[in-house]
Amino acid sequence: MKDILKPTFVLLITAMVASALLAVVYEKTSPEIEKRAKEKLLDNLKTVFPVEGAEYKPIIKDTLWCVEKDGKRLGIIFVNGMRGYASVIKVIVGVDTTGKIVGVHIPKEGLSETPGLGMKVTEPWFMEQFKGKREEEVKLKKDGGTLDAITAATISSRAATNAVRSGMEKYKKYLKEEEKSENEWYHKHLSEFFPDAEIEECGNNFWVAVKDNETLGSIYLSYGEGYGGKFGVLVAVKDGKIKDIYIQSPDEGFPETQEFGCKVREHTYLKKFIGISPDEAGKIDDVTGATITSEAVKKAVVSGYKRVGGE
Amino acid sequence: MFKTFFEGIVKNNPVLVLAIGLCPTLAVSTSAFNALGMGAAVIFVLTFSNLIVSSFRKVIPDSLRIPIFIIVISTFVTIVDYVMKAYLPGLSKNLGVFVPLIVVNCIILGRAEGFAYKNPVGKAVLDGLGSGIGFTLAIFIMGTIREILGQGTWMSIPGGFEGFKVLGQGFLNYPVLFMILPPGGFLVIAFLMGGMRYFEARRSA
Repeated sequence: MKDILKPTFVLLITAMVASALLAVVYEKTSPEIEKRAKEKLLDNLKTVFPVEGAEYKPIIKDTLWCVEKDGKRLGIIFVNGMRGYASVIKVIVGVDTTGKIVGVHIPKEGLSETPGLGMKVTEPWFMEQFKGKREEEVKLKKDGGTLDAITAATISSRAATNAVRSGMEKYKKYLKEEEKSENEWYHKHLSEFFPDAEIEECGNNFWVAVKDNETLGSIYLSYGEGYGGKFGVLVAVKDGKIKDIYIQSPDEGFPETQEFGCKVREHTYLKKFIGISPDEAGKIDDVTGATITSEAVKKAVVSGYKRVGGE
Repeated sequence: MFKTFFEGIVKNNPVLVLAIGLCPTLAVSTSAFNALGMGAAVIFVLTFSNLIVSSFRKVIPDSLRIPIFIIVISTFVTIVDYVMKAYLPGLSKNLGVFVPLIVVNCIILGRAEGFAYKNPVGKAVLDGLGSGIGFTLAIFIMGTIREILGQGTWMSIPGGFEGFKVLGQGFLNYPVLFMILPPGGFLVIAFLMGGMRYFEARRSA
């Protein structure tokens, strides 16, 4: 018995002391590590899109930002990666609203291409070449484009170039500010979801609530096909959970019948959505007598969430 | 007593004589600064793990010594990793996975098991310092040779000091790239080991 108890006890004590020590060190260093990462990020954003007094607002966490000044969108910045020779080459790219590249930065950190060869993608002359180029021009000369490859490092050069081009392709829809139609029914409801925050339009029927450069949450608009016709559903999402939901009112053109379909607009039904993840909206019970309308609401919530990329 | 200390540096140099811990040695010795950073991390972990293992050697059950050594070592390695990430982010990115891999570095487990577990605290600490400095010296010499020949600079710091241009501008434009790549590492370590053997043989002859 003693043969079992003593070693167990010793191992337990060792593990406890070790984890307590690590907890203390983690507590002390993690804010510093986080702060460094944030500073580094802002530095990188400023390098690829240097505009005095511009604001960088996140659209997709750690991947996509819109650059704005005085409420006007100047362009976007995205991060994209592509497999190089020995590691994934990550590029940070700033693109203005006309679709021209403002700047490209390829961080050295975390890159493990061959020193002296592939690592040269981080040299200024290579990154400078991208400036002012449009999506179709971003190709190496040997692939019919306009960029010089690094001698003896074609794979890395091509990966960096492709990362820039595929990112431009992927995110170009965010370049254009949606035409603002202030008189649409939903505009006055947007600010009701996040009262203190500023609502930024980020793409088609998608808004981000920003306060002091922190994203509080997002709102999306989605349409459902009910019994009487098409109607709009606004969903506010915070931390991946539905914060609030609003359905177009009859005055705003809600097409469903007063006695049945309109029941989906009642608070007793809508509160079932609050606090769950939008993916799970399908599980909610239907309103008696308004199955088609209820199904349309749930479908709108789920499909809209998928469309905006789950964020 | 100081014999223990110097033995780790020259006569029992872990890298050049005992030929252990070669993996990080070859991988990280591409520049003198990286080598110093790695060396400092190893000295810290080795000294403290020796200290702890030796202090508790009477209460550590024989059957459990390896798991306990590993817990002790990995705790110190994790501390080094966090501290580096917070205060020396550039170095931490350069050393990458080789910092966490210190846990399985056989120099450290070897000294804990072979020396600290059997010797008093003072001797164990000196042994840790000695072996750590021996490792650092070896890796620093390798880093120096490889960086100067393979990159044309010495002591360049990522994102900071660009290094002494030891061999002039022409060399900077066309360095012997081979030296920074893995084969260069093997070549340098072979010459260093051969040199050590040669002097050892002459001294005892």
